[in-house]
Amino acid sequence: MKRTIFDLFAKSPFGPLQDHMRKVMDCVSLIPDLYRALEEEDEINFKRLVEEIKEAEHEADKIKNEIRGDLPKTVFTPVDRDDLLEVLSLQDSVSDYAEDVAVLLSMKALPFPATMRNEFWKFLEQVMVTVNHYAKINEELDELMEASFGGAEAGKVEEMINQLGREEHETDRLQHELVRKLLTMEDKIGTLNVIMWMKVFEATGNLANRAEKVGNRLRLFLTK
Amino acid sequence: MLGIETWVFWVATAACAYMAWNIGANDVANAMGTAVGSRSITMKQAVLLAAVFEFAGAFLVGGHVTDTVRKGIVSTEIFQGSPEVFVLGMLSAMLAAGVWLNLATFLGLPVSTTHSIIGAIVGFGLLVGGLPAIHWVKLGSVVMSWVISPLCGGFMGWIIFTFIKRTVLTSWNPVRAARRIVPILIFPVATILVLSILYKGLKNLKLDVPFNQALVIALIVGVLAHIAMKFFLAVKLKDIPKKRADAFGQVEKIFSYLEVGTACYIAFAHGANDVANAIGPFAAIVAVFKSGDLAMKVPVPMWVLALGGAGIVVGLGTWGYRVIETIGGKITSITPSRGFSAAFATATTVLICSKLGLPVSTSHTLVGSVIGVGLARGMAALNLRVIRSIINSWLITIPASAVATVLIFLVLKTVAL
Repeated sequence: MKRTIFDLFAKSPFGPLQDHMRKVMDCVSLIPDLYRALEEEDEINFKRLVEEIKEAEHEADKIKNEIRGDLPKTVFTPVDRDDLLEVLSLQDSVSDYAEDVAVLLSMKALPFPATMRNEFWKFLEQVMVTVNHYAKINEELDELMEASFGGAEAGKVEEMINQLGREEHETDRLQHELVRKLLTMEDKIGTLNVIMWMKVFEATGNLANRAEKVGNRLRLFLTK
Repeated sequence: MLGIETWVFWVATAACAYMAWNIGANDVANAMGTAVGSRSITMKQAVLLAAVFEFAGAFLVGGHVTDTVRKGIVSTEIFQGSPEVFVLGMLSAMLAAGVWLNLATFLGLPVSTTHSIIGAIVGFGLLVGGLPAIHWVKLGSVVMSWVISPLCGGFMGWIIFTFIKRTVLTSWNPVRAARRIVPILIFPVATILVLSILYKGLKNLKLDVPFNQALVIALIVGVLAHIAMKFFLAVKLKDIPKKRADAFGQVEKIFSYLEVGTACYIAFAHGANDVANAIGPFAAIVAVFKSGDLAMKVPVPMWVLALGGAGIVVGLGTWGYRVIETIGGKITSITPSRGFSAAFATATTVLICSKLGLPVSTSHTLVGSVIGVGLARGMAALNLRVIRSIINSWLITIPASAVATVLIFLVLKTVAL
């Protein structure tokens, strides 16, 4: 094929970065369904959801690798290339933790203790609020590019990132409450299950942690 | 000798058409590229607009008086008394530049038609007159301009995009800002366009306008365009969208008009400037046949300009449209505000350089302008490897077309003389 000076234009990484996050959300949004299936002891649905989560995580990985392949060192981007790759890698780690949750829950039959029901669902809802909030920030990327990462649009995104921090802080608080509750249940559910649940909560809370971290990395895109 | 003369004349006509075809096939897409890439116009519209404006530029403005030996790089004294050597040399130069352009297209090197013809003429001058035949200082300034024009384009691109960014794109209300700023932008665009067309061209149509008069007319047109744009936007942008995403859409729509206008101007300017690469040597040959003498500057007959313009359009129709297609399928990351910034920076830089008598490459200036917009954080992703292949093509084009000219000249000499 004929080469022209228009080979100067490389593929934009910002659209694919949004595609990637949408795929990550496809994966993460199955997590509440997974817990519901566990609570209702709906084994068929549970197994199906675990597979779907793994599949979506794999799809997100594929998009990630494509973006990396399209960003050799000779490509010049309006934001620091390292920041861009770091945002991508942090976004991807959100779906990695979703997969971790699915894998941990399917390791051994783990009954859902009714006593922690309230605290758990409050915690999970806040995790989802936090991750969804980052997804909304990610959806601003095309407008940010259009506004060249500055001015009013950057101010709006900056405020969204501040809000993300507050959501994540609330998630942490609810997670501590939940863990405190769990530790009172050792006699009822056994030490091993307590350890398993601790690990599961940690992975679930990491969804929000990572969402907050990627938001703060994205802050470096903005022009002051 | 008459038989040979007729023969040489027809070969020269064919060589001129071949060179013009190459210009159409290689360069034409550059003017429309950003407009197609940002989806401001469709490919069909781009091909049509390019054909119309390239032909108009070539025919109306294109080298009404073409420097016989491009920009005085080779001294003509060495050919005094042997016009037949000169005719064969010019013929060889056209053929060599054409062949080199074709080969470079095949190899995928982004070469410039301007550089090819300069290399060809330098090769011929060296063969006939040796080192003293070349005006080295002049050649040096030409080569310098190849470095300077992308830098100027880059600087202009950076300034124009930064201005648009500061005033429109980063504001709280981009639509309201566009309504204020775009009419201000249209003033220099229209003024510069009209000034360059009036002052540089139209002498062909016996409409010789002195600079002062041209400037006054251009300023009046600029003011009229400003007022027209103001009314147009007042009607077009009546309601201001709440969501910023919709606002950006509206703003970019406005910039797409500016972008298409600027792209047409580049096509016009390209037709005007680059047709000289094809018809310059040919016009010199025609002049020798007519008067049997050599002249530094020769008037170009209308039919020769038409031949050059037609050659460019045929090149566009047979090859150039495929280049436009390739581009259209590729660039999606560029938006009209960026495309306009780069195109306007290129047009202005090329205009200033040709005013200073420097033969610059439109394509390379455009590359500089795009990078300038990129440095102002306007471009989503730029592949800087292209710069290296452009520098490579600079380094190779002059010697390659020079050597090709020498070879073709030696062959023609044995055949014809």
